[in-house]
Amino acid sequence: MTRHRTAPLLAVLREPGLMARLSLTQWDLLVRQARTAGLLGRLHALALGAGVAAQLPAAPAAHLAAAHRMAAAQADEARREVALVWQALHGLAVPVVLLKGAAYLMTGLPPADGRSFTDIDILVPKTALVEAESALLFHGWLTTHHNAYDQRYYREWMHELPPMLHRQRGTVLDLHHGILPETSRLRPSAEKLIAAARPLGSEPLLQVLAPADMVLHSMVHLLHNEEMGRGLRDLSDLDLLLRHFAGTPGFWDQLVARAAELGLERVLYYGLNEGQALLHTPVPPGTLQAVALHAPPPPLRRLMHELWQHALGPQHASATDAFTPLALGAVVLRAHWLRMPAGLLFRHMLVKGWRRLTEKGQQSPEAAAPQV
Amino acid sequence: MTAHHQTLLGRYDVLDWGDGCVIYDRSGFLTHLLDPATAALLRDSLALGDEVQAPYRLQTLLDELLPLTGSLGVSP
Amino acid sequence: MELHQLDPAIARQRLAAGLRLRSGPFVVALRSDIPALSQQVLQQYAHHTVVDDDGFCDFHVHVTPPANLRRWWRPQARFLLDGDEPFTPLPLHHAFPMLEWGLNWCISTQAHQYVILHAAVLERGGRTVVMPAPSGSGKSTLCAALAHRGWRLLSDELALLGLNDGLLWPLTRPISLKNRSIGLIRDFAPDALIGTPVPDTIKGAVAHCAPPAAAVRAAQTPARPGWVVLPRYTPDAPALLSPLPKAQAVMELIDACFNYSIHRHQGFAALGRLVDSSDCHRFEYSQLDEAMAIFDRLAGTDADADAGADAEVAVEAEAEANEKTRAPPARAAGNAAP
Repeated sequence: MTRHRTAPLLAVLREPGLMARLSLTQWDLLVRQARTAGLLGRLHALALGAGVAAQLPAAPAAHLAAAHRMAAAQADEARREVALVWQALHGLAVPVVLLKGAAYLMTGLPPADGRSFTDIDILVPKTALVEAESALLFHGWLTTHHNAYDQRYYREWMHELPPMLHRQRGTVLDLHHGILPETSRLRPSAEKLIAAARPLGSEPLLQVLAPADMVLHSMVHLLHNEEMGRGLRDLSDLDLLLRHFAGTPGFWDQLVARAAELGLERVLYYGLNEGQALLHTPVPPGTLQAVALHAPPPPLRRLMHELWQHALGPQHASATDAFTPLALGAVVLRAHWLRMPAGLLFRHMLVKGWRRLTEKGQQSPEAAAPQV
Repeated sequence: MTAHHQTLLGRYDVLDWGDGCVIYDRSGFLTHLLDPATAALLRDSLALGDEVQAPYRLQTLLDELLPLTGSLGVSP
Repeated sequence: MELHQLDPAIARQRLAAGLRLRSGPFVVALRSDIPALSQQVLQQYAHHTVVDDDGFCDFHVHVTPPANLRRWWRPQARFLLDGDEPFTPLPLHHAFPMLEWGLNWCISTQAHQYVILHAAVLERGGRTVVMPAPSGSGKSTLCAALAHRGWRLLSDELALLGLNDGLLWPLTRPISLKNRSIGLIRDFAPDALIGTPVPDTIKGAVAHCAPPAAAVRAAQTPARPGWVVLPRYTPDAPALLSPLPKAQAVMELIDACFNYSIHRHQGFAALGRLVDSSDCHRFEYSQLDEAMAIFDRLAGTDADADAGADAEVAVEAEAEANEKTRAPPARAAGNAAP
């Protein structure tokens, strides 16, 4: 039994009211686990939601509040960014679908509160991709990843363009034309997603995915992401979405049906089972039975479950063990494997590995510290 | 001297000390230090009651007076 | 219990396993087995309270040599915040400055319950002087001098302004001094406890001056605003305090604010209130003794704005008079700041 199963962070995500009953020693561990997972701001939001915010001891509460404050500032900037993206793209007269954090924020869904926002992700029809990129370039975004390999990686194989950086604001925009790569073994139809998308407000073409699609996209992102650093945060997003949409009559049946339509049954199986196992997401037994039909064969099933539990659990040193790096590596490899054919994959890993060895990612402390 | 603090049009926080005036723009995340002439123009407009009587006129004035890049902040 | 009350050998052992110290509003769990760093910590944090329980800690910090070759060959030190390494390693003998810079980084990037300014803060007679200043302004030298001449040190680097209470909250950590400043403060305040200079950092020679015991013991007591002073060291200049329009003072504080983009209009309002409650000045100086005299007069003034204005005029007039009669600056006996 790995340590993470008893991590205070998981206990509190399952039952936020627990925060009123933790000792200071438990708080010490909880704040550190939450900070590593990028969930400090969310804990503040959950404490407010559970009505226990006023009962938290002052010192840890200050950390939660500070993180929430920072997230709120990011949210304001993200809102402004969405408005500016729309300003750049509305002239194209095609649907622009907000994905992930930006979608939660603009529709006021539970995962938005206390969540940090970095990039904006949008989905446009593939036929409008060239025009969309031009419009963005015209309005001050710059393309990144200028070397030939990366450009090819994104433009030929991926479902998104290289991230675009705004030259003045320094904000990042990811322009998608699908939710999984071209080279992927799974090919959920972007056209279907866009057709079912719903308008945000008064602008009919500025949209968000339909609830079942939003959930499925969240699962795809979670389970097929090449970078697993934010696994628990993404799982928590998914958990909050599911708890929210569970209140809509017929949601669970729609979810199962839609997964079948898009060819994402195996993804749904993993997403629901891992969410339930780690965060006690309340999934109806009937739904679990329905998705169990698409489970992998038993030996693989057990292995994958162990892998996910490690990769998606808290990554703080207090909650991991020797198996965790291996699990993370295996999950990343799987994500790559699902995204591209073996030959391409091998070459890709070589290039990325070389990069990592030669790149200097850190800054010097004197430069980071205040100048005296 | 104590500052006169008000928020205009729900968007601009103004601190006016008479000998100097600063504005925070909540929408643009910009902070502006107004030069005396600009500050005087703003005060005149407020003396006319523009915030209540003619918010459009005040907004237009502010759009003209406040540079797109504030003294601190990022341009839209 | 204060750190100096622990047997040094025990203190070193505890430091190797993780020693908890209170620093103003924060509890820091500090772990290191680097001997030179331990020795500096024992000296510089002598009067800080040791926290014995295993309750809540704000920052878990570890300064350690790398596990690889750089442990022995051209040895390095790493700074880790709870396993996260925000900076590249530094030479081993820079370990103590690295700890100080690292702690400043932790606070300025996390403690958003405060509006955090890059400024020195000291208190006298219940009012604080906040001195925002960039590198080279002589802020730390002035701060170290004032801290040993009747002013209570709150911080030499990070001003913590309560968002809602409008008070300045102490941090009271070692004051960092550079280059000539080190010798100057040694001469100016012989009782100051200054650590061994580290010679070749990116900022030149760096040494730390321990915060006075009384200031450390008062580190739980915040203070009201009083003055905002923009210091500037100018060689051979007579000490001169001149009025700073409040609108400009606010812009200077915003410029010096680490987390303005997080607090936004609330930060704007908080800094506006700080400036509103403060007499604002520019200050130019070259001689520490003259500077102390000016600050003495400042502290002697009424909190009332009119009296403050009178004092400013008096100070300016005196400075002018001094200029007319002053002799060429003395070299050997002088206390010129860098």
